[in-house]
Amino acid sequence: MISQIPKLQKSNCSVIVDDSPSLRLVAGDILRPEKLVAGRALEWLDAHLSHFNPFNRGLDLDETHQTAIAELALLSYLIRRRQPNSTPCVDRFLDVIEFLYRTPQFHENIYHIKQAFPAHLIIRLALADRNIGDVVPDRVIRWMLERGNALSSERNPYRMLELRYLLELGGWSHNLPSEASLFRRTTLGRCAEILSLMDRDVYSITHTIFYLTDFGRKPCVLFRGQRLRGIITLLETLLGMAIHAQHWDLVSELILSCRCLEMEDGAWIRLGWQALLQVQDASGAIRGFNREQTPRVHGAARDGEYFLSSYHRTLTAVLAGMLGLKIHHAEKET
Amino acid sequence: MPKKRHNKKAGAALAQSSRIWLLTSLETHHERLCFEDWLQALVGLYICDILEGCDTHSEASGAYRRFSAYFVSQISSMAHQHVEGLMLAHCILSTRGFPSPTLTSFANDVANALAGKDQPPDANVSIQILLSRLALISTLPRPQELTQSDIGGEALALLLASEDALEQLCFRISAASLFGRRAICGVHETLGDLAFALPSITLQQLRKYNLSLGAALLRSLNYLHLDQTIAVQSGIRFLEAQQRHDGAFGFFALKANESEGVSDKITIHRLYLQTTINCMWAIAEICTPNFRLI
Repeated sequence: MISQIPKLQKSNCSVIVDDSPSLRLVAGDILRPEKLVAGRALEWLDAHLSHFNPFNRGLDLDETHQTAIAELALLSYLIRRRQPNSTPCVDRFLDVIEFLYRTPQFHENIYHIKQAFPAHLIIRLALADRNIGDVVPDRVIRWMLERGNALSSERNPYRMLELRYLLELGGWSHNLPSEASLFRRTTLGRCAEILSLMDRDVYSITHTIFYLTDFGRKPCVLFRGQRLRGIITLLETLLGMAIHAQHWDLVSELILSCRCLEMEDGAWIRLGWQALLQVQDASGAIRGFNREQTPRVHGAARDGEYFLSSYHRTLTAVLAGMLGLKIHHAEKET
Repeated sequence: MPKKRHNKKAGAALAQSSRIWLLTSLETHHERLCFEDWLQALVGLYICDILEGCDTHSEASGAYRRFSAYFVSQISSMAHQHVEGLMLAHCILSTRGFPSPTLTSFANDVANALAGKDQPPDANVSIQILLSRLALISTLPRPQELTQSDIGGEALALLLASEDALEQLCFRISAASLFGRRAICGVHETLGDLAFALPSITLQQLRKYNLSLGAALLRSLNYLHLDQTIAVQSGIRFLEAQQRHDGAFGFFALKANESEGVSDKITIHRLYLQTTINCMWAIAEICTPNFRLI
């Protein structure tokens, strides 16, 4: 049955924290809010893993859920890439992702939904060692790239960068423009007035930085000297604005963006972590709407709505706490 | 940088357009305007003169006489509740060449009443400054310094402050700097937190299209001598871009419906008037060297 997924292990924060080098709590870490926030956020994701499966609540695998699964896959891929043999919760994440990827409802959309193709690429990256070639064969992906609309379909410039980034990671050949050429078309590359930037523009800026720096694993030649300093000033100002707006999703994304560009956490990043620590609830979720407010829906549907409104904030907080230049360099040295 | 880059021609064009709007709306709504509306319109006309760099614009002369008559007529009923407003009106009218004996006498009474009093509360700082400008007192008040309690204790609390709390903070910054006439008086840590957090707060309020609070925050940044920041430079350009074709500021999704009656129209007019004056006040103080409204 579609609604059955592999039995999940009960979440256990101490296991996650103890087994994860990046999140291990040692003396002195209690003063580091990023470790607390990211550790508890990862615990929350683990505890709410079943919510990623819409069939558990009698729902369809719609675009919202597909996006959520792809984002969980990206998180799993990035953590596993850092720590190949640790963080057991990632195995549980991958079990759920694989189960859902194998449902016909998931891969029937590969040709139809604009966002579906990058989502497939992310999932294939995350499940690379799980032999999923029988679900959507490589030749289908190649056909999409060589003959289909995967590369010609119109996307925002930063979405083109995303596609390029994923194709490069997976070793798929493509004929997309260079990073520099795509960057020049992005919001960040065009230097718009800060007050004209809408939330969607800020997302474009953060994602542009994620892809061009491989989430803090490589310095980007496009970000140097005066331009780099200007971008960091812009990010810090936007971070202050996002904290004031209590837009916690963007707060995490902007923290991660800064950490992808700089080795040391500045005052704004420390303040951002303090703010996230304040708003994170006891379960580890970064609150979206107030759960005590009158819900629009009840019961399981209410839980689902709460989950969908919270998961991205929470997931991004994990990424912000676990990735970045400083962490990458520290790992390389050890 | 705003003061250096100030474009006189642009300021004059902005002022001309706003003056037409202010004079036209005064003509249209004068029967329904309250004391605060009259005061704001007077301030607006005065700022137009400042931005245009002229003593008193010929088109505004008649209006200034009308303002003078209005405020004189209000002395008996408003003398207690609107001391600051009447003092500001008197100061502007005197500066523009329309002094009124009645308002002068009122100002003298205020000066005598405050003479020998202890340190004034924040609410009276503006009155003391205006009396000083009129040479009715010899010294400026000594402001209360800003402390951590004014910002909620720390930078994060400041960033999470409500709009009401931010309005109160703007008021405190105005008082602590004597409306930009003195170096700000405050605890070092508090000034550091303000310099750190207030620019982002200002930008976010402007981005939310809370123009009045955003403009007040821009003035506060100016009083804190943070006028060389991205926030002030971008903020002023943003405010200038909010002037409509008719001269008022703000693109709000509001339109008086003919069938909804007069009160609705005056409410909408009041919103535009308040927004316009707040925007122009910030633009004039930041872009015009040595200009302070109060």
